[in-house]
Amino acid sequence: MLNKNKVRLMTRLALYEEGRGRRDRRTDNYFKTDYISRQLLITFLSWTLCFVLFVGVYMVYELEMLMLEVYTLDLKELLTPFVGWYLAGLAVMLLITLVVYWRRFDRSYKALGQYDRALQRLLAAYGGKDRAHK
Amino acid sequence: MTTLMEIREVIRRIYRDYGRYVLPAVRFVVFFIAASLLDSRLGYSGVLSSFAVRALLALVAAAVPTNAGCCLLMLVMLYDLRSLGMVALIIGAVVVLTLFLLYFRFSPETGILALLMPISFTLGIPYAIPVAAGLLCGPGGIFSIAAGTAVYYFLHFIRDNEAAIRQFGVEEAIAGVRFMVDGLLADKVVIVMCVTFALTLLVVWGIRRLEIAQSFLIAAVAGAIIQLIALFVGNIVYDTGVSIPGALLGTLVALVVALVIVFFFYNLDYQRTEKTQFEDDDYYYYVKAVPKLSVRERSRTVRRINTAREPMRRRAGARHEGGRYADLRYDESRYDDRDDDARYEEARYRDEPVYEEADYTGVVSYEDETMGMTDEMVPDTAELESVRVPETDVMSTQDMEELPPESEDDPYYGE
Repeated sequence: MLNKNKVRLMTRLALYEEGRGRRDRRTDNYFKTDYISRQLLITFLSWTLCFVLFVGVYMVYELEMLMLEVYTLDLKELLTPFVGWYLAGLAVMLLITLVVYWRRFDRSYKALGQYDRALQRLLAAYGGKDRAHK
Repeated sequence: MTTLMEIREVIRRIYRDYGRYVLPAVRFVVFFIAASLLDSRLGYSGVLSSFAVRALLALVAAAVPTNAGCCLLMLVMLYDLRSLGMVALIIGAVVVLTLFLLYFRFSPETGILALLMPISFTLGIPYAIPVAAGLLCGPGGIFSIAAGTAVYYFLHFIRDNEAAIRQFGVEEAIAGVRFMVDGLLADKVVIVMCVTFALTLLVVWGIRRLEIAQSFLIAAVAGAIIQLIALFVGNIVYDTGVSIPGALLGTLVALVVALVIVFFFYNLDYQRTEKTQFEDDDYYYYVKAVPKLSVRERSRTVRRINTAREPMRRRAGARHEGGRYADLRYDESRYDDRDDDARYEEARYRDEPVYEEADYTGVVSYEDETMGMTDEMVPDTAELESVRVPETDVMSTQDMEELPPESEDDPYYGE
């Protein structure tokens, strides 16, 4: 005879495994600090790349001026605003990354805990650990 | 109102039953509209001009995650821009790469908003999206909305300056880049729009989470008002040229959309609000529960008075638990509202064999309250005796041996 609760439980488990479960299990491979620092590093790289792109466009934009005044330019004066923008943008991006991935880790940790408990309930419905081994 | 609620229940049932088909279908339609929009805005390469190609693209995009689908559309956009000229491609690539690195990197769950934003701009109802997102999503939606707005205005700029951009060949690339960067940065309307939408979303989201009656409606109205004010101010300060009648009309549409959303998702009955307090070891809880308004869908009910009798199996257990030796007519286990898991747990703890719930359809007395049965219709005791299952059926001898000795603590010991 079908046990409705068991079927319901197994369906929910299967849905979770196929959906969010996959991402959660990847998250579970890391300690929280490792996970977040890894994401911070990726953000650092992508923001840097992005900024290089912006600077590239700016250089193309100002190419004539740069070509004409290349010998008389005060490099320090030219670069200071860029460094400022870079650091400010980096700070904002890192902050966003921190918030987003902190919450994401907490959420998947919680979801995996629930998943684990549901699995144990399922095991109990099959007669528990001891019976399964007999 | 009741009719509306019934319609709502029907729609909900359809969604519940066919959700697995409805959702992909909606995604397909959204991606198809987006592809058509891309074709009508750009369409320089003509790759999307055929219906079949657009349908295929939408099909693929609907099958992969939303953000991946968006990326696919972006690549098609770059291919299109290449036909317009090198300069357009370069600037387009910078825009797309920026989005990849700063937005898609977080693969937000609200990615569909980034797609809906340009579509709603084309339909003239962009003001509805931030209000709806504030009601349904969290503040994370801001980034998706900003990305969608930026892409829309980028496409808009390309289309408006199509002839000029086409003139720039490889030799005039620098002049072309200057022209496009100047044009894109001079247009303050993108920034005004993004700030307006972000503000609206935050206001709606903030108010709808407040613990006040009708918070969802208040949030929607407040968001719409804030949105109008922000647009006016932006118009005055930056001379964005946003049409005021259009904004008013769009805000009205936003309110209608918000009403529909509230009706479907947050239809609460504040009259029946209940408050309760309790505590555990660590906390004191103040709980306010607002029931949702709902009606039962009209349906035919089939009453079964008497069906084929099946052999009855009783759970093992003491009499007061409705076990094998309990009086059938006062069987409390019929009213046992614990779920199967709890019963399994308990039986396991007692180390008793567990059986599925018996099918009691033959014994009509238990349906007294619901089916209007009288005592006369209850089978007499002799009949009930005859349907009892022989003991060996219920418990194997091996299980009997495993039973722990009865304890004197059992109030029914020896009975």
